[in-house]
Amino acid sequence: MAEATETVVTEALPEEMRTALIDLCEQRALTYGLLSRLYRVEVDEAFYADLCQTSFPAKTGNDLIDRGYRNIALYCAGHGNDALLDLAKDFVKVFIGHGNNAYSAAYPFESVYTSEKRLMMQEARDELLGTYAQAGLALGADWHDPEDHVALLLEYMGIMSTRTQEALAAGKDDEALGLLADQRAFLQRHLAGWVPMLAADMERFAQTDFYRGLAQLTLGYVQEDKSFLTSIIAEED
Amino acid sequence: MQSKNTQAEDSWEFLPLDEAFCQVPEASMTVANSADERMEAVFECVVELWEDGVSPADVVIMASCPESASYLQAFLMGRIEGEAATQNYCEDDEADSGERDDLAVDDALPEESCDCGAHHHSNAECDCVSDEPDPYADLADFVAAVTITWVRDVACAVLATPEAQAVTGREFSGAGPRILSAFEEDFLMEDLKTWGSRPKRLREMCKFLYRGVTELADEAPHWLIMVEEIEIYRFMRRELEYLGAVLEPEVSNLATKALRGDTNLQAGFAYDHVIAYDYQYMSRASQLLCHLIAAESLLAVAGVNTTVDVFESYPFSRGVEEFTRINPDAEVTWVGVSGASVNTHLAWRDTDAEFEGVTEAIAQKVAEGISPDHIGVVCFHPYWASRVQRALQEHKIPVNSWYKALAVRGDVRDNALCLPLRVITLLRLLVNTSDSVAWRAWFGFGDYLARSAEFKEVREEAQEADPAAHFATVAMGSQWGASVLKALEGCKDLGGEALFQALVGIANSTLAHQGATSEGSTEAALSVHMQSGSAAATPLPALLRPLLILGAQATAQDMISHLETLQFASGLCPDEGVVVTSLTGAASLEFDALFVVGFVNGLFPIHDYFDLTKITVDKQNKMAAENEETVELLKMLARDEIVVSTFETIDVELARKAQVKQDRIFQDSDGVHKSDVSESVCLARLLRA
Repeated sequence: MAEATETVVTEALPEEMRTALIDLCEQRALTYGLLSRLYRVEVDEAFYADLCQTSFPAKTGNDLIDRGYRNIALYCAGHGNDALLDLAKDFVKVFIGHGNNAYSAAYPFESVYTSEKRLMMQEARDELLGTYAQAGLALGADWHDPEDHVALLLEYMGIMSTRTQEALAAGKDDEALGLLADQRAFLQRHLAGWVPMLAADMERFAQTDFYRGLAQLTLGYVQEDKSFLTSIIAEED
Repeated sequence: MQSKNTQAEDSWEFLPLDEAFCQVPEASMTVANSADERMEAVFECVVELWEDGVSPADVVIMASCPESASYLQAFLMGRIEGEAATQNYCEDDEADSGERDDLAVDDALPEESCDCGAHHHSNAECDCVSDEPDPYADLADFVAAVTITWVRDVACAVLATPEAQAVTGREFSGAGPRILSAFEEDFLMEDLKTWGSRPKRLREMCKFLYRGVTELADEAPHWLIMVEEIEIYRFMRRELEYLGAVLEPEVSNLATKALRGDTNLQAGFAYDHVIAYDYQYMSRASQLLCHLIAAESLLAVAGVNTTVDVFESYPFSRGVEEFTRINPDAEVTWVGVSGASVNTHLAWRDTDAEFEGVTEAIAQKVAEGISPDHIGVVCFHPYWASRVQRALQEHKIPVNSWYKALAVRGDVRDNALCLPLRVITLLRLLVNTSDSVAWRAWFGFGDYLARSAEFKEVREEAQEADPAAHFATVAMGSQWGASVLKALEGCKDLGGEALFQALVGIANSTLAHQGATSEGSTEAALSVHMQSGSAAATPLPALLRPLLILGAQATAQDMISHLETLQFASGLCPDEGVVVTSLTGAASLEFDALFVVGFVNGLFPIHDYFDLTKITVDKQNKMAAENEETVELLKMLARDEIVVSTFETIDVELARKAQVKQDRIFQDSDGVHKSDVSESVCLARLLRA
């Protein structure tokens, strides 16, 4: 479980740095929100329309992120609304599968990848219950999957990013850095260790470039965010 | 398939176990947890017998296994030398100094310390006392003359006698009882399957039967209640009689029956004084065998821990309390618990760091002056043992490896996979053409069901005509049997590798024809082989290579004797060095410093302990109690220090192969799949003083 850390800042952050961090956290929240949405359910018509109109960055400095965005963008550009059925089928193929063992799909649950027998509802899920409760978060009434679904983990990171942004905007630097430290610990514990395996399986099962791109994007973004959080906490230390 | 509603009759009658019959006039027991204390108890008893003027021919020391016997012998002789060294001084020095101290080389002695006026440091140097006999030389001769053996050896000697065979109904064609090898038991199992029980049920039943046999439960009324069990046990007995063979759990059981059934036989094997060493590692039948051969006195030296199968299957843990029940006047001495005073825990990042770190820690101990012989490393998995051995050898630290009993196993259903077993079978036939077990194996090789249905018909028909019939008679009288014997004629003068090559040639040439009932087929195949000359030399299978160590002149009999030693004994090589072994191997030993490597969940306790889909809660509780006993045993293996080593992460593939309990799997930054591992749940107990 990610443990709360206390970071004491003796001096206020420089204004330029504060502004940059606020912008960065806003971007992080949006990106995590996007990723979370893509994993939560199939792409629907409205969301697909938004995606088709979105300009994705071309050069972020991370090759995996760039490839991920490119694959998603190219797919959206090359397919009309007839793509919705293909995407829905691919969603099922990638995340649900049709086999009767633990290796028939890229099951988006942390317990599956981190437990010995690839079972759901294992220790990882139990840890996350505590983490969410500690953060004052509860699952929505319409959520029926286990708490260690990757969509929830990504959404949690997005929420924490937003809280960090708000804390920085309010001048609560200690709180902000504490939140960043928590995010670093959470990402290390609950994302960085198993997302690479999830991404590898997604690329194996995906039939469309869309979900292959999602795998690359997720893996690249987790790597980048880990580097960012590690460096930002190290700077403050 | 037989009806399960009929009540089977048991035609065997043996003397029921009468505990009073086993009672020994002077019985005593010493219970000590550490091996040193147990051996010391034996030494004290031997000295007492020697001082009482007992003849060494009237004394026997029975250990639980060959390894214990040789250790004990070495300990006793070493103890006598040590005693002689500390006692060996010039008597006049004692008068001057007023007390006897260990002599230091640079101690200055008074010039008048001896009548001859010279300085002496030992009686050996002093001519004044050269006429005095060395008392310890006499003790050494006494110990050298005492029979030090192991209980199965005695049991086999009993069963080899015609009187024992008459009592037990089990006749053997060779010099002694024919104990089934692991692969020969597979043929027995195939034959048992013809009764109709499912294989899994049959395996579980056999475990139950074997355990019961070691505990002499077959003499208890209504031991077997279900008709299926009674019939299968009866079937097994009939088959073993027909084969002139015995199972390992039966050896001591039949020996006790023989001794109780023939008092002359018992008198012939009796010793006035018996010392039973490592009593707790013996099966119940073996423990009672010690009672039966003790005419005047019996000293049982035991520890209290019996969770480890050192040599015999099913060591009898309740033997200590049964001893006092059989011998109510027995004196029981409990030696104070000793153990390590220093316990250290070393935690490593991963397995590679652990092997390197443990090696360095051992190197440090050696540098501090501890002899490598006095350092032990206990591992719970062969991979850890081999990695530690390799690391120690790379650091030029001498290592004493533990050789496991040779597992003579293979897939008898596939000729391509059991060539070494067929060669061993031919070797046995060369030694003894009346070996029914070997004939049964030869008859069944290469068939998916080991020709069990055919063999059953042959056996039932033969035993109906003559209950004392043996399969060898049928085999030698058959076409295929005669062909094999004819082929073996040419091997009688061969030895070493030449013999093996000839046997490999015979085994390969009769590939498709062994046991064939069609006339002429085997002979035809053999004649083709013999005309074409012996087959080109083929590389010998790994299983047979240990037998080549005997040299080019080794005969078939030499090889079979060596094979039986290898497959029924395990132990340390006679080299010196750090002992790297499993818990079973270390159970009878003691070290100044003990390293316990890989003490993590999954290795100890085993993985199943944590998986409630594989075991029940009751079984888990039972395993927990056994684990506690094992931890206490580990503590007793170290005189001064225990160093426990654990690791935190492990490669996922290695974890799966070794069944290490993986807490959390992850992929590290290099893309390697690893898992977090927890230190053993028993760690705190082990580190507790």
